[in-house]
Amino acid sequence: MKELAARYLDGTATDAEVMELSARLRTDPLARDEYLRLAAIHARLATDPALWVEHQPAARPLRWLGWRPLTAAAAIVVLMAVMFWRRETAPAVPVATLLRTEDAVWAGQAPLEGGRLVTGPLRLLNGRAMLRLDGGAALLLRGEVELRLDDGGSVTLLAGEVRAEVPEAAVGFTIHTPGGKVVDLGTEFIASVNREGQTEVSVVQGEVEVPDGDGVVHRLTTGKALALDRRGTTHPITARLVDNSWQPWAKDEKDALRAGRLLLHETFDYPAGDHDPADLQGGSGWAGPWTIFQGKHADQPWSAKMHQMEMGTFEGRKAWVSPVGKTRCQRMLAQPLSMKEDAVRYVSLMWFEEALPPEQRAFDFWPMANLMIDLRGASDSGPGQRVGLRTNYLMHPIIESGAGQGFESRVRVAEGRRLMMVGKILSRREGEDEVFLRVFEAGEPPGPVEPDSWDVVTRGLRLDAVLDRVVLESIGPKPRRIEEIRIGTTWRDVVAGWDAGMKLHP
Amino acid sequence: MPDHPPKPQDNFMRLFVASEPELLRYILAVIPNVVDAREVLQETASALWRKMDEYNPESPFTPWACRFASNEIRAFLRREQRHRRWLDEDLAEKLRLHQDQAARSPAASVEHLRECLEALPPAQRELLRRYYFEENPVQKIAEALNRTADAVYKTLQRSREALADCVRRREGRAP
Repeated sequence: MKELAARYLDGTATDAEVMELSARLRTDPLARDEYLRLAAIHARLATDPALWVEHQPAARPLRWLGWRPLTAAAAIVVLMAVMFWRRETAPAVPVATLLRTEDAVWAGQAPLEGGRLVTGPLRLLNGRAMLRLDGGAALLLRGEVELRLDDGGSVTLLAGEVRAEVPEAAVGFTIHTPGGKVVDLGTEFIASVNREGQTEVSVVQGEVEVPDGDGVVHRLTTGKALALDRRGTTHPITARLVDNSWQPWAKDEKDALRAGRLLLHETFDYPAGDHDPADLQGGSGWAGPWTIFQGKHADQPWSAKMHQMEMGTFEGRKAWVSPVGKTRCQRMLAQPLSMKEDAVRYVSLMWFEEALPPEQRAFDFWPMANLMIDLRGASDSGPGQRVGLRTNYLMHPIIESGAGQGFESRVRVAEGRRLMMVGKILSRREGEDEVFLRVFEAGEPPGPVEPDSWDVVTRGLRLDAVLDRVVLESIGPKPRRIEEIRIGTTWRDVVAGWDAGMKLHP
Repeated sequence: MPDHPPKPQDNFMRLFVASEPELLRYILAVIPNVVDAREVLQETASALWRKMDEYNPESPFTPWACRFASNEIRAFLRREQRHRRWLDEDLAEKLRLHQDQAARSPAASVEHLRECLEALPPAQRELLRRYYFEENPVQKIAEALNRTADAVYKTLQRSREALADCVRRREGRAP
C-alpha cells in the first residue's frame, strides 16, 4: 500500500497500479487514512516554500490584497494574478522568438529582436511586435498589450489586442483570457481583452473554438465574432475587420536597406580588374583593408593570383571573383562582436555558385571544396573561438565552431545560381550560445521575418570569444562571384534587397 | 456608507485567497503533480467566480469550494485521458470526508512538519529540498547525487513515511 501510494504521488505508477490503489482506497478506510496522511505531507512539501528557508519568504502578490472586500474590478486583477501565478514555480524556459518590432516600447527590459522569449509575462506599452511561438503560431501585438507566454502552444492574454496567424502545424494554439479561452483550428484571428476583462474574438479566416462558462463550445468561422465576459457568458458582436492598422508593418520598407543600420557591409564595389588587397577599403564597419590570409598553406601555389583580388561586374552586380584553387582573405572589424554578452547578430553572404559541367565534375573531385565566411577571434583566443558558416562540396550548409565542432545540414543547395547564406548568432552571457543557418536560392523569398525552420542549428555551443575579423575562404575547381557581406542586428537588415524574382540562369 | 450594495463577487477574492492553500493541497492529494494541480486550481477559481451567486455566506467556504475542485479534478482527469476511473464520485466523497477531519488543526501540523523535517538526516532533507522546492526531475537529482533514479524514489518514499509518522507522534502528544 505504501509502495503504491508513493508510486502514485511521484507519478511513476502504471495504469494498473493506479486502479489497484483506487480500489483499495474505495473499500479500506485504513488505506484511505494512510494514503491521505502521505498525500498531505506531499502536498505540504510541494506548496509551502517556507519549509525550506531560514526566514519567511516574501508574501506572494495574492496575499497583499489581504482581507479587504474587493470591488469586482480589483477582483478581476486578482483573478488574473491567479492565472499568472499558475506556473510561477516552473523555471522560465524559452518558448518563442521575437521576430520583429517597430517603435516598440516595453515594460521592463526590452527583449532583443531575434532573441528568445521565455515563459512569463510580456508587456508591450506601445508600437508593434511580432513573435513566433515554438509551436508555430505567430502573434502580432500592437499598442498596449499584456500577456503571458505559457508554453510553445499557448499564451494568456490579460489586456490589449493581438492578431494570431496559426499555420496548420500549430492547430490547437490557445489564447487563455480572463473569461475563458480561444482554441485555434487553423486560422487567423484577432483576440482582445478590454479593461473590464471582456474577451472579443474575430475570425479573419478559418475557424476557432470558444468554450463558454456553461461548457458550450462555440465554433466561429471566417467573418464571425463573439464576446465573452469575464464570467464566461457570451454575447454576439460584429466581427472586426483587418484594416490597415493591422498591416504587420506600418512603415512599408519595401525591402530597402535601412541606411546605417548594418554593423558591417561590403558590396565589393571596386573598379574591375586585379587589385592589391591593401587598396580594397570600401564598405562600412571595417578597420583597414582586405589582406590575403597568411595561413600555413600561404607558400603553396594554390592560385596564380594569390596576392591579388580580382573584381568584376556580372549582370550589373559587382563581385569579387575568387579564383580556382584555394583562397583565404581576411578583414578586421571596426567593432568586434563579443560572444560574452546577450546579443543577436545576423550575418549574410550573397554569391553566385557556378555549376560544373557534368564531364568536368567526374574528374575534378574536390572533397575540400568550400565557401566559408568565418568570424574569428584574435589568433591567441584559442582554436575553438570562431563561428564559420559554409557550404561544402556536396552543397550542404554547415556551421563550424570550436575544435572540430561541426553541424551539417542534410539539405542540399542548388548550384548554377545566386545563393544567400543567412546566419543568426545568438550569444548569451550565461548558458548555451546558438547559431542558425539557412541558405536561400535565387527565386526563394527570405520573407519579412526570420523563417520558422533553419537548415542547421547548433547544440551545446559555448563561446566566449571576441570575434574581431572576417575570414572568407573559397576552395574549389571553379571560381565564385562573391557579391556582398552583411552583419546586422535584424533579419530584415541582412536580407533586404535579396532579389527573389531574379532569373535562375543568366 | 457603502457606495453600492455588496455583490457576492465582492467577497470572492477574500474567501478564495483564504482557502486557496487548502484547496491546492486538497487537489494535490489526488492530482500529485504540482503543475497539473495548479491548472485545476485555476479552473476551480473560474468556476467559483461564476457560481458565486449560489454561495450561502452563512456556510463555510472551503468545503463548498472543495466540491467545485472535485468536479474540476474529474474534468481534468477526463480531459487528460489519464487514470479516468481513478477517482469516481464515491471515492472523491470519501476522501473529502477524511480531509475535512484531517484539516481541523492545520496550523499545528505545519509546525510539526517543520520540526520533523529538521529532524530528518541532512542528506534526506537535501534530497526532498531538491525535489519539492527546486522542483528538479528525479533523473536530474539522481545524476547530481550520483545515485540511481530508483534509489531517489525510494528515499522520497521513506522520507515522506518518516515525516508522516513523526507528525502523527507529535500530534498525539499535543494538548
